[in-house]
Amino acid sequence: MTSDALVSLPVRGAGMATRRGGGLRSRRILGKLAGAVIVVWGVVTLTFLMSRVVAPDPTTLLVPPQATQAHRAAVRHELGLDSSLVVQYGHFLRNLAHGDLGESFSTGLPVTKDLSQRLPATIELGLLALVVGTLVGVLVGVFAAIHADSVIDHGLRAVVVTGLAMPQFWLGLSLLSVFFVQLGVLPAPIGRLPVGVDPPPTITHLYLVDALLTGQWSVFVDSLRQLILPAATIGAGVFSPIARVTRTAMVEALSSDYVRTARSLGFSPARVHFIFALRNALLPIITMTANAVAFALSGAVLVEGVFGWPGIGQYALTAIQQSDFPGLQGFVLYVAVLYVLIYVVVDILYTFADPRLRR
Amino acid sequence: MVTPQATTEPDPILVVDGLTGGFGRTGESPQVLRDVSFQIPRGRLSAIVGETGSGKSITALSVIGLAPAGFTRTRGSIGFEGRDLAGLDDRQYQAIRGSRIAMVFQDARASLNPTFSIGYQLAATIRRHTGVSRSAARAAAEEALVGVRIPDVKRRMKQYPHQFSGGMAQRVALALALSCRPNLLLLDEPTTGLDATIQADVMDLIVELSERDGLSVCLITHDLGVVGQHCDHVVVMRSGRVVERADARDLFESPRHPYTRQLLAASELGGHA
Repeated sequence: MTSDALVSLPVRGAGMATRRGGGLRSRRILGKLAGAVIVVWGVVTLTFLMSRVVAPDPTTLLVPPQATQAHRAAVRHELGLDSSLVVQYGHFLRNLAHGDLGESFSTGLPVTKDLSQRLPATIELGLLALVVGTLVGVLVGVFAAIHADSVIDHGLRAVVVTGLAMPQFWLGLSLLSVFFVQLGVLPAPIGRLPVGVDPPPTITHLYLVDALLTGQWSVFVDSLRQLILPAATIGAGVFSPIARVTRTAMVEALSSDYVRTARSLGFSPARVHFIFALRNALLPIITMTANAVAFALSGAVLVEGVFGWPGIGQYALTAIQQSDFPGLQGFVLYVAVLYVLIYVVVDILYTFADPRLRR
Repeated sequence: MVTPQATTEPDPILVVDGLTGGFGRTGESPQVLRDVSFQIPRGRLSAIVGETGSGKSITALSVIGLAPAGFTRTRGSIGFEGRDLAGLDDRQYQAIRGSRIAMVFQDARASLNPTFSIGYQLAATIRRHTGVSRSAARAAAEEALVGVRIPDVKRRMKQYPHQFSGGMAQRVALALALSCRPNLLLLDEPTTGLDATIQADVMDLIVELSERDGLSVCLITHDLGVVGQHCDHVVVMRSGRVVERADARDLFESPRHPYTRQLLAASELGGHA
């Protein structure tokens, strides 16, 4: 069902969910939570080890090349890098349990603070891309399925395959070169607002929403103009796989007996397509949308880089470049928790979408 | 609308005349229906009989306006309630489907939508054609299920197709088709895939509904056993042509067309053939 998946989230297939019958609901939830904790622990541990083994020593980046050996040792001691790996790991886990992700080597601020400052930018961009990409993807998929194997279908497929094949950062750069450099209709890639424009009063941390809520219409427009190109870039990554699975699932649903029954009962084509058929095509669409949510909200690193977007993707990029272990660990922890949460939500959504998966 | 070869039926509910068509852009090649003409008598059970590929299913689907996408009708008319259905546009046809003519398809369980409750599917159909309130539609839906003798209706309304056995699903499919009280019911292989006893139950129910409501029923089947037991009128099709039209009793006692004799012999019912 998810053979189209580009980025495959480990989402449980429909077949397994039915076999998992019996068992109390609370036991199911407990089991899931335990699994989630184990997954998150595994991921942060792996990141801890890999960053220390693979990445260059951060002190070489933090101290000037001409610094003395003693100076270096002092910095290493300050960062806690002079103790053994086991001690460092124990320290890391103890702090993690207290919600302390340590201080970033590069900004010197607590990682939790760094992340919470940058998250709204990623979330605002990701949500806009998701909403538009998913809606257009589903609509295009349904439309292509209704006109399967026609000229329209082939044309749409070309668009979708292009979207799948094109690297995101390259699409972003192309859009910039057309709409900013050549046509000059959209602003420069300098982040969430143009130079000299103050953010709206903070309510949700999402500039679009806050500007709307406080009635700052010009800030809303400025912020939207900054968002259009990066959102279109990430949105293309959301749109293409969703359009593709929607088409596949809808073609199958439209050729089914129950769709023929709905037609034989006199329902209009719109009702047949968007209610009776689409409802049955939802499972693979949910799976693919979950992948898209994870993709869009984990800060498309290169896209944020291209557009100077001050989100967590850029933070991660900097953390990697500067061997900022705590920063990188914080980012990975966020992504791991995000994936696990999405996985749980998807499992619940499945049972809403398909009554056969209910106990 | 009188056809030259019409049987002596005073007031048929359906008159198919000269229906011709096929696949391909022009409907010429390959031709699957050739000058198909027959009448379905009012208020009784009839059958269109034939092997796979005889054109019986495509004929039935043409009557309800759901012929497959590649099929083109080149000629002929479908007279129903004083109108030629062949000339209707989509919207007009939608108003007739489910309310005046309904069809039950072969695999009943697969023909019910797996993601909606039975109650929802029935109520939605009733509301589609009558526009009554939600609660009235639910009441009518329950009534429709009672009508096909499904026990424990209140609980069944909330259930989904996968919670129904084959026989029960067949009854639900019938209830769905009959929920808006159509005049003509087309049944595509209604008993195929069911156990013999359930088969008999379903057929008894169909006969009973036909008698009670004056419903005209047309079976599309290859099962001459069912036809011999329950139907009054039979149309035999082969290779897209109607080869014989007769009262069931006459057909079974003295089939005129050699193909009919073959069919009867094959089904081991044609003792007289």
